[in-house]
Amino acid sequence: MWIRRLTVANWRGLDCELSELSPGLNLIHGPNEAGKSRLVEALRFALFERSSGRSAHKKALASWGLAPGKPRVSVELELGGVTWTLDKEFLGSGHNTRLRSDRQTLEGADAEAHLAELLGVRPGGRTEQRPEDRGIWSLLWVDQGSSRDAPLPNDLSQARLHDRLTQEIGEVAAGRLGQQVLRRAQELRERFYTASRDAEKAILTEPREAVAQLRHRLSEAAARRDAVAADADALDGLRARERDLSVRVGEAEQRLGDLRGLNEQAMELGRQLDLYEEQVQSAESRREQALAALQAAEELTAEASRLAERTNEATMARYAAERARANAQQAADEAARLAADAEAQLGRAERELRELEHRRERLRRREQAEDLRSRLAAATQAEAELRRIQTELAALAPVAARDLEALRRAEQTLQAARARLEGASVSLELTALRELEFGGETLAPGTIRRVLVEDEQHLDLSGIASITVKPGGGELPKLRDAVRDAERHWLERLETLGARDLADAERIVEHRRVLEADLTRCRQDLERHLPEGREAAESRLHALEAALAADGDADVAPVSAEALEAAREAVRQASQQREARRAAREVAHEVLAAARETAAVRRAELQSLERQLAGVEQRRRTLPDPATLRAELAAAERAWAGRLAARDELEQRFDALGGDDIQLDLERAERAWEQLGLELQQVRVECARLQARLESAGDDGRHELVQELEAELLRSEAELAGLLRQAAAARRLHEVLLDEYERARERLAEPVIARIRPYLQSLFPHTEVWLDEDLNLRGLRHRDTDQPFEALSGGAREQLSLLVRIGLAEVLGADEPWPLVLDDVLVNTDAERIRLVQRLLYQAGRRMQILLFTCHGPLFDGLGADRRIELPAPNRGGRPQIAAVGAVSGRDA
Amino acid sequence: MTSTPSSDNPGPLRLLHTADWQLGLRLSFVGGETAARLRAQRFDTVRRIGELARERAVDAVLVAGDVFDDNGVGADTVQQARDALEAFGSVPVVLLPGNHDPATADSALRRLGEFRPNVVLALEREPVRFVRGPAGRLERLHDRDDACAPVLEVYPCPLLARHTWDDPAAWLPARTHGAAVRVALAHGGALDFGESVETPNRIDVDGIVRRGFDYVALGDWHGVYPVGPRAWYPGAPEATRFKEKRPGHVLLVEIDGPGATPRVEPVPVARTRWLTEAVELHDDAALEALAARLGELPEKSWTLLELIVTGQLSLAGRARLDNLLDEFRERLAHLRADTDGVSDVPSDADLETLRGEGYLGCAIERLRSGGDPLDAEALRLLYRLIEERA
Repeated sequence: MWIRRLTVANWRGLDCELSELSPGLNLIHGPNEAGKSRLVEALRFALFERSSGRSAHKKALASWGLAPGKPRVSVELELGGVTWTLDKEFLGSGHNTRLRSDRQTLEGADAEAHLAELLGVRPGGRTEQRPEDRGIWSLLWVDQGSSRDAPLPNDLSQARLHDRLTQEIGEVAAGRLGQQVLRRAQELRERFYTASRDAEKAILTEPREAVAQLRHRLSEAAARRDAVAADADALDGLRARERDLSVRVGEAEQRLGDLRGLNEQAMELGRQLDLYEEQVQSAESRREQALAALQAAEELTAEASRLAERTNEATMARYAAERARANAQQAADEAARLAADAEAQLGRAERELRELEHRRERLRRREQAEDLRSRLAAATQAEAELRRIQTELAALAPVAARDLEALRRAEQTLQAARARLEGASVSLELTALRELEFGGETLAPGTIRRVLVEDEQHLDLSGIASITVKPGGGELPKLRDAVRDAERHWLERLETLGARDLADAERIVEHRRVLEADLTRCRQDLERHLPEGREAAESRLHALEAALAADGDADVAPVSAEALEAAREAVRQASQQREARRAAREVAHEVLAAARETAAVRRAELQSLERQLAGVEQRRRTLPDPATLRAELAAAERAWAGRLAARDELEQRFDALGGDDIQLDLERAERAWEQLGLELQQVRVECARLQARLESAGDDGRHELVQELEAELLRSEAELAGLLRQAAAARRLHEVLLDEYERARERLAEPVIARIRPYLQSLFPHTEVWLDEDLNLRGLRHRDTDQPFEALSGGAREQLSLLVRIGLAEVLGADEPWPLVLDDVLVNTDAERIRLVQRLLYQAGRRMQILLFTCHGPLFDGLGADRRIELPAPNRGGRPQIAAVGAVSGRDA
Repeated sequence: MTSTPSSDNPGPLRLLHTADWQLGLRLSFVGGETAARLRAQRFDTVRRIGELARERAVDAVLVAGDVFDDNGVGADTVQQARDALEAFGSVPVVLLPGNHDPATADSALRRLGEFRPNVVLALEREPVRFVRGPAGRLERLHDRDDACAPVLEVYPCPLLARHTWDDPAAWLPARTHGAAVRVALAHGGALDFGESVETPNRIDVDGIVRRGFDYVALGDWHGVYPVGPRAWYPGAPEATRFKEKRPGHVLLVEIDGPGATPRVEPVPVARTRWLTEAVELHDDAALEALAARLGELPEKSWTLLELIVTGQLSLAGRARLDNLLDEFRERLAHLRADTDGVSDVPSDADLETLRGEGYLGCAIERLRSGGDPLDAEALRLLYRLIEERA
């Protein structure tokens, strides 16, 4: 289909005609308000809105201004090789539609219906027609301001597209059968699973829960049945035990009775045994008493005999001791006499010795006094010499040997200083050759004067010359000072020592040495004469002289040493004898004392023994005689043996019955019998308890219940398994169907994509258009990323939307091309891209009619439109002047 | 067995030997009302046995254990047992505890009680002696009256506990005197029946016979089985499982006298029919044959069938099989169908049906080639959906 002509009148103030439109690319441009949008609107009303009715969108069409009249539109179009003229007048009464061809003319509703059929749209209604009712035209038609919207196929256009694509690729994505089956499979699946989360529905969860509950109930019922059975088993076991215990209790009772009888007998025997035991003990006691009496008597006899023997021995010993004491007395007396003699002899010898020693002492004192007097005289002489030397020494100048050495060093220092001074001075010898004045004196010719110049000196030669001599090169004053210092030092030392010169000093020192040697010798002599000191010697002399005076002046015969020694020897011997006699006397006294003591002891011993013997003899007389005692003992022993034998016999009988253990056995048997009885009682109680429980469980049909539940569970499980199998099959079927359906739809979109691909590469290189299975534009696909349509820029969306529309229009127009109506579709596209888009439009215009309305005419100068119509600027009066440029292309119009 | 007794010559001793009634058993795999019907049928079968006993004028009925399914059965079960036992009239019935209803403290038999003079509970290891009464009927001898010579001595071997491994017949004494027919009544395994577990309460049958017993009336094995000429299992009168061999009988035993070899006749009494069949299906014709076979089954409401189906079926055939099985699940007392061995192979006609346009073809191909059992199930479902729409 393509539109040959469009004429509008009274269309909101516009009267205009677009004639000789090209079946290819048409550009209709003009400034704002030129009527471009009204033309598009009029074309839309012509094609899709019915002429009858006065609803709001139609009322809005009424013209204003100077040209009253009904809005009219007339379209001439080619479709299926037939030229149709469509006239519509709006806001009139009834249908004002006429559709004419060279074969037929339809009017009113028929015309509207036929037109809708020709265009593939739903007939217009009272209200404004919705895009979804416009079929493929929703893809082919872009109103102003919708350029950025993606083409949105409606059900009509989708069906047309699918038909076309099915034809083209030779397969259907889903025919009616396919759709129905898919829908039915989904219903089946949703019978079991929720659509949103694919979760199990009650049809599955309820039986599953029922199975779980049944399992639980069954396990409880089986447990109860088993518990009753276990009680029964336990009761049987207890009854067997009760039977066994009853027998054992009977046996224990029998055993207990036997033991009680035995115990009675044993207790009687025990009592007799106690009696016999007492008798045995009594006989034994008597036997022991008789034996003790006999033994005591025999012991006394032996004791008396022993004591008599010891008394004899003691008497003999006493006599011997008395004799020894008398002998000792005699010896002691003799020793005392001898000791007195020795004592007298010693006194005489001592007196003689004392006389001799007294004489000798007087002689020795006279000698000592003489010696002291001579030593005192020599000492007095030595003391006088000593004083003389000390006086001489005190008169000597105080020159010591070390002072002499210092003096020598001072003199050497002085001489050295003088020599240095002399070496530095100038010796002048002046010989007067004529009379002249020199140094204040007049020198005759030939006079020689020697001058030692020791300092800077001006020598006036009586007006002849004045000579200045400077000796020593300036060092002279220093040398002179050194000589002066040395001299002073030397003189000070001499003065201090009191010497005239060095030789004098040396003489003084020598003299002092001689005097000091003499002094030492004098002192040594003094020491030798009176080593104890003069005072002690004189005191000693006085004492001796006093003693000598007391001795008297009588002559004393000399005492020889031999006489003295003999006297001493006599004293020594007398003394030794006296000591020996004294010792002998002491020994004799000691012997006597010991003899006396021994005699006393013997006497006491004898007395003691005599007393003991008397006592024993006294006791012996009180006892019976041993023969009587022996007879008594024999009788007691016979009685004891008899009792013992009787008791042993009884004891054997007691032991034969079980002895002391029988009581223990009886206790044990009683305890065992009681325990068994208790156990039996407990078993009986437990039996009764279990019996009661069994009876209460009774015949409640627990087995039937278990069986019912087992059957119910089996059935429910089978039912559940069947449902699960069905559910799984339904889900699987729906999954596979849906998957294959979507794949088929993707295959269906492929021809559309292939058509768009060449256009796309110039605008969006390396991309693929992204269409979903319903041919909705979703965006762009890069190699590995998808870019949603909504995320693209306004310009890109506009361009991509246009490309897809062209592609879809090509698919739809494979047999009969359909026009694209584009009202200002590139408002968001930059100039560079508009040039690219123009190329695409040009290519598309080879295959379909394109009506491109724009208010930016100059932008499309390079479009190469087959027909170019410029709408004039608004002109309030008269029809617009249409300036047409271009011509119908070479296609068959 | 044709001999008929008279008052002068009472003829051979005639016994009815049965066991394993398991009254109160509920078949867990059978659902709904059928389960209740089958449970009630066990009592009716006891009545039928009672009628048989009277018809065949037996001297005594010996029930060799497992009278009840469990000692925990309810009062109604016990009462129904009493009611059913009335069918035996005055014929002595000796009831022995088995491993299902041992003579423990909770014994169901004890609760049943010796409610009629002819009902004898053999709960102790004591011989039960019978003398022939004036009318030629056997009467129980209650004391050791040597003046009365018993004609029949029944030596019961009751199980006294739930879990024992001893031979319950070990106590049986050897014959010492008397001219009575001696019958041992025992419950347990006499043979290794090839079960994987060891048989508890193993009974030494040869030992019993050597001790001078004329017949050993056994219970526990659910199919008729002669252990020897003097020892038989009668099997359960109504089966309890599919795997049981020759269930549904009682034994009529005639013994001419002590030492005589018994004559044993199995007599069917079961109402329920337990069948196990294996079918291999490869085409629709076989399927139709199966349908015919099922259709021809007599007394379907009393028939329990275990059907093992193998082979390959088209999707249409598989749907037909499923429908068939569904139908007979309703009509039979119980149908246990094992179809795991059936694989679905879409036929050309199936594929024609499934030749869906567009994506459907891809989906079908994917489900066919998946190899996952779930895919096969999904494919069957898809087939059904397409069929529904058609």
